[in-house]
Amino acid sequence: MMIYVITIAVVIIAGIIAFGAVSRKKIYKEVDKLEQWKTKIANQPVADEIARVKGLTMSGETEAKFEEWRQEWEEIVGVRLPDIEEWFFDIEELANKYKFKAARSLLKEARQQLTDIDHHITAIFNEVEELVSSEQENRVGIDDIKERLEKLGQYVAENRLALDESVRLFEKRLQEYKENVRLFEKETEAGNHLKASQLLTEWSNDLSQTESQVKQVPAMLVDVEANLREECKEVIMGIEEMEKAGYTLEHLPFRSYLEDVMDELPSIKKAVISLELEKAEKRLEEIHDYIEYIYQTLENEVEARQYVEAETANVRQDVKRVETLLDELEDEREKVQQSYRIPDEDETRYYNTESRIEEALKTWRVFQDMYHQRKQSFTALKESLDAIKKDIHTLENQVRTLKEKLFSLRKDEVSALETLKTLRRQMLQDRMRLERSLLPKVPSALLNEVDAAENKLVSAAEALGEIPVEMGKVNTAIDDAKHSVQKVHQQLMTTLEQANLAEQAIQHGNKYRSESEAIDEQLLKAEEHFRKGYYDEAVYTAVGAVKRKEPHLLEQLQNGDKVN
Amino acid sequence: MNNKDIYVSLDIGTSGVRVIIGEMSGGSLKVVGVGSAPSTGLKKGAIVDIDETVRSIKQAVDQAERMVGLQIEQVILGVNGNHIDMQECSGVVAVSSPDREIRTEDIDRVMDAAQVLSIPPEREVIDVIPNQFIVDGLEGISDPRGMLGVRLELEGIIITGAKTALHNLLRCVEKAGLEVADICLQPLAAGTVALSRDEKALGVALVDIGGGSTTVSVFRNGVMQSMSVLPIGGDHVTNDISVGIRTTTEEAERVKREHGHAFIDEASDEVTFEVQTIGSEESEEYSQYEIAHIIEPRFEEILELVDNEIYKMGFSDLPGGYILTGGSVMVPGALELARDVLRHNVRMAVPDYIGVREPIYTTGIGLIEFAHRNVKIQGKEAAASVSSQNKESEEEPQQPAPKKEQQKDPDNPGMKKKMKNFFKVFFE
Repeated sequence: MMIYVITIAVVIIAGIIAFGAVSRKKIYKEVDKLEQWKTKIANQPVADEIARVKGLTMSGETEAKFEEWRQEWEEIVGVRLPDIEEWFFDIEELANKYKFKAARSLLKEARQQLTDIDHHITAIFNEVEELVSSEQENRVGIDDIKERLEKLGQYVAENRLALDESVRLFEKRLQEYKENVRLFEKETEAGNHLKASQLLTEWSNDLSQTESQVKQVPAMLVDVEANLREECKEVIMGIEEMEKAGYTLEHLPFRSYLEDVMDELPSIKKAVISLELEKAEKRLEEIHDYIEYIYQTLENEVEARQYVEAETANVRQDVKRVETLLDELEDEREKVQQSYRIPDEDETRYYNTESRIEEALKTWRVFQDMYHQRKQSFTALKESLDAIKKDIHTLENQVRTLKEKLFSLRKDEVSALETLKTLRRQMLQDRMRLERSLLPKVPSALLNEVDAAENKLVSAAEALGEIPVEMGKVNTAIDDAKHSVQKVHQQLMTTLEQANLAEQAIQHGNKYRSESEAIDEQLLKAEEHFRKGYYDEAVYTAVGAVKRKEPHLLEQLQNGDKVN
Repeated sequence: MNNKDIYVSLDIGTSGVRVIIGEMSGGSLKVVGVGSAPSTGLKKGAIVDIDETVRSIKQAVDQAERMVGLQIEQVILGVNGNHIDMQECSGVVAVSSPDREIRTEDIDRVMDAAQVLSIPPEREVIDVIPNQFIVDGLEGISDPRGMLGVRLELEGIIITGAKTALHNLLRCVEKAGLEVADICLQPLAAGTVALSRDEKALGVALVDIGGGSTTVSVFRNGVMQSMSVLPIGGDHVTNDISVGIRTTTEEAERVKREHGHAFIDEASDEVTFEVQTIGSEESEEYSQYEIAHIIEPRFEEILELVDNEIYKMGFSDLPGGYILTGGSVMVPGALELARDVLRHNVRMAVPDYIGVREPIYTTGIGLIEFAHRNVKIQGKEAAASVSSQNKESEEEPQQPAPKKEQQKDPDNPGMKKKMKNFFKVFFE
C-alpha cells in the first residue's frame, strides 16, 4: 500500500515537475519574444522623426506638438519600457515559483503595454508626417491659390460686362479670398500648419466653385437674355406659320408656355446674377427640354400631315372598293336567295358586316370632315386614318369571305348536280345491262329496288329543283339516292351472275338428262326456277342434280374454268 | 346422252360461226353445248377465204366439243344468200305398197318426183320443202305416213342454190373434218323457232339482221313465200361508228355492244364513255346520244331497205307484222326504231332455250328444230352427230355402229345418198 502511495506520489510529483518545466519554458519563450519587441520599439528612430519638425517654425501648433511628442517619447523610453523590463524579471520569477497564472497575467499586461506603445509611436510618426507634409502642401497650395485668385481677378475684370451685376458678388468674394490668404499666412507664421492646411482646403473648394460660376454666368446670361428669348420667339412664329399653313395647333399649349417662359426670363436672370446658378440651370434645362419637345411635336405633326395627305387617297380607294364589294355581295345574295336558302348564321354574319361597314363609312365621313375643316391635328388625324384603314381591310376580307361562301353554296349545288348525273348514268347503264341480259324474269325484289332508286333519284332532283334550294335537304336526298343506286347495282350484278351460273349449270347438266330420270326431273325443276326468276334456287338445284357426276361443277363455273 | 337424238347445227355467218349441240328428248330440245368463233373468211355472207372459214369452223367446233366431251362428226348446215332460189314444185307418185299404206319410201319417191324440174346447170337442188301432201285428192296433209291411198301428191317449194356457192360451203365443212348430215335454208330454220303458227298463217316478215347481211323472208299461209338477202348488216353500223369516232373496228364493236343505242329519241346524253382514238394515246369522251346519231341512220337505212324489199316481193300488208332476230338487233332502241320506221307491229324473236337465249342463236337452234322435224316427215335418219371422245366409255362401241348401219342400209338412202349424189354430180 505504501508503495502505491509512494509510487503515486512520485508520479504526481514527476508530473508536476514536468508540467512545471514545460510551462516555464513556454513563459520564458514568451518573455524572450516580448524582450525582442521591446528592444525593437526602443530602437525606433522616434527622436529623429520628432526632430524633423525642427525644420518648421517652432511656434504655435508645431511647438505644442513637438513638446507633446517629446514628452510622450520620454515617458515611453524612461518609464514605460523600464517598467516592462522589470515585469519581465517578475514574470520569470513567478514562473520559477510555479506561479504561472500570475506570470501569464503579467505577461499579458506587458504585451498590452507594448502594443499601446507601438500604436503610440506609429501615431507620433503619422502626426509628424502630417505636420511636415502639410507644411509642404500648404506652401504649394497657397501658391496655387494665389495664382488662381489672380486669374480669377483678371477674368472678373475682363468680363465685367458679361458678368453683369454678378460682378459685384464675384469681387466681394475675391476680397474674402484675399483675407483668407492673409489669415493663412498668419497661421503658418504661427506654426499652425494643420489649421492653415484646413483653411486652405476650404478656400480651395470655394474658389473652385467660384471659378466655375464665373464661367457659367456669362453663358447663362446670354442664354437667358438672348438665345432663349429668340428661340421662344422663333418657335412661336413657327407655330403661327404652321397654323397659317393649315395645321391645327390650338389645342397645344405651346404658345402660352413660351410666352410664360419669356415672362419668366428676367427672374431667371436675377437668379443667375445672384449666383443661384443651380436653380437657374435646372430651370433653363427644363425650358430647353420643353422647347425640344415642342420641336418634336411639330415635326411629328408635319410628318403626320404628309402621311395623312398621301394615305387619304389610298384609303379612299379602299373605301370605294369595299363599297363596291358590298354592292356585289348584296346582288349575289339576292340572286342566291332566289334559289337557295342561306343558313341563318351566314345571314347574321352578312347583316353584322353590313352594319359594321356602315359604321366604318360614317367614321370615314367624319374623318373627311375633320380633315377638310382642319378640326383636328394631323397627328390625331393620322391615328384615326390608321384605325379606319385597318377596319376597312378587315371588313374587305369579311366581305370577300361572305362572297366565297355564297359561291361555295352554288358550288355545292353544282357538285350535287354532278353526283345526281353520275347516279342517273349508273341507273341507265344498269337498266341497259338488265335489258341486254334478256333474263326470263326479273326478280321482284330487284324491280322494287330499281323503283325505289328511281324514286329517290326523282326526290333528289326535286330537292335540287326547289327554290330556294336547301342544301342540307339536297345532300340527304343525294345520299339516299346514292345508297339506293349502289344497292341496285350490287343486286343486279349478283342476279346476273346467278342467272348466268344457273344457265351454265343447266346447260351443262343437259348432257346427263337422258341417263337418269332423276337428273332430268331435277333439271326441269331448275329450269322452272330459272324461268320464274329464282336464280339462286336454279343454281342450287342444277348443281345438285349433277352432283354425283360432277361434284365440283359449281366451283368450276364460278372460277370460269372450261367445263367438259 | 343418247347419241341418236343429238343434233349439231353449224351456222356460218359473216361475223361468226356458231355451233350448237342439242339433244332432243321428250319432244323438246335441250342445248348441251355451244361453240362460237369469229368469222374471218366471209364477206357479206359469201365465202371469200376457205382456209379462214375452215379455221373458224374448227374453232367453234372445238369449243362445243369441249363443253360436252364428245366429238362432233356430222352437222346440220345452214345455207343462205342471194343465190338461193325458191320455186314451187309438185310431184305425184303411186303408193307402192300392196296394202296401199303410205310409207317413208313413198314420201321419198314423191319428193324425188317433185325435183324433176328444169334447173339451170349452174344450180343445184338444196331441199324440197313440202307445203302439203295430197292423198287421193285430200289436201292439207302434213304427214301422210300410215295413211292409205293410191295416189300421193306433194306440193311444196324446191330450194335451189348456186353450185359454186354451195360447193365452197361444203368444201369448208369437209375440210373441217365434218360431214353434212343435212342442209337447211337458214330463214326457214329461223322461222321454225322465231315465228308462231298463227303468224306464219297470217303473214309475217322475218328479218334476220346479221353481221354482213340481212335476210328478209316472208311467211304466209304457213309456208315461206319469198326471201331476199340484203348485203347490209350490223358490221356496217360498226364501220360507221369506227369512222365517226375515229377508232378501231374492235373498239367500235365494243362501243356498239356496251353503249350503243339505235333510237336517238330515247338515247341518253348522260351515259358517257371513253374511246381510244386511232393514232393517238388520248381517249375521247362520247355520249350515248352522240353515238345514236351514228347508229340510227344506218339502222334506219337497213329497215327501209327491208321495207322496200318486202314491197318488191309483192307483200304490202302483213298482219303478223315484222319479227326481228339476229345478232344486230340486240342494240337497245332497235325495236323502237323499227316500229317507227316500219309503222307496223314489230317484235323481237329470242330463242327461249337455256344456254342460247340470244337472237344470234335463232338460226342455229332453228336448224336443229327444222332438221328434227324433217327427220320425222321426210324419213331422214336421226342425226347421229357426235361420238364419244373417251375410248373407254361404254357408249363408244355403240357409237360407230349406227353410222355404219345407216350407211349400209339400202332401204334408207336418205340424206347420205343425196350427198353422195351431190358430190357425184360435181365430179362427173
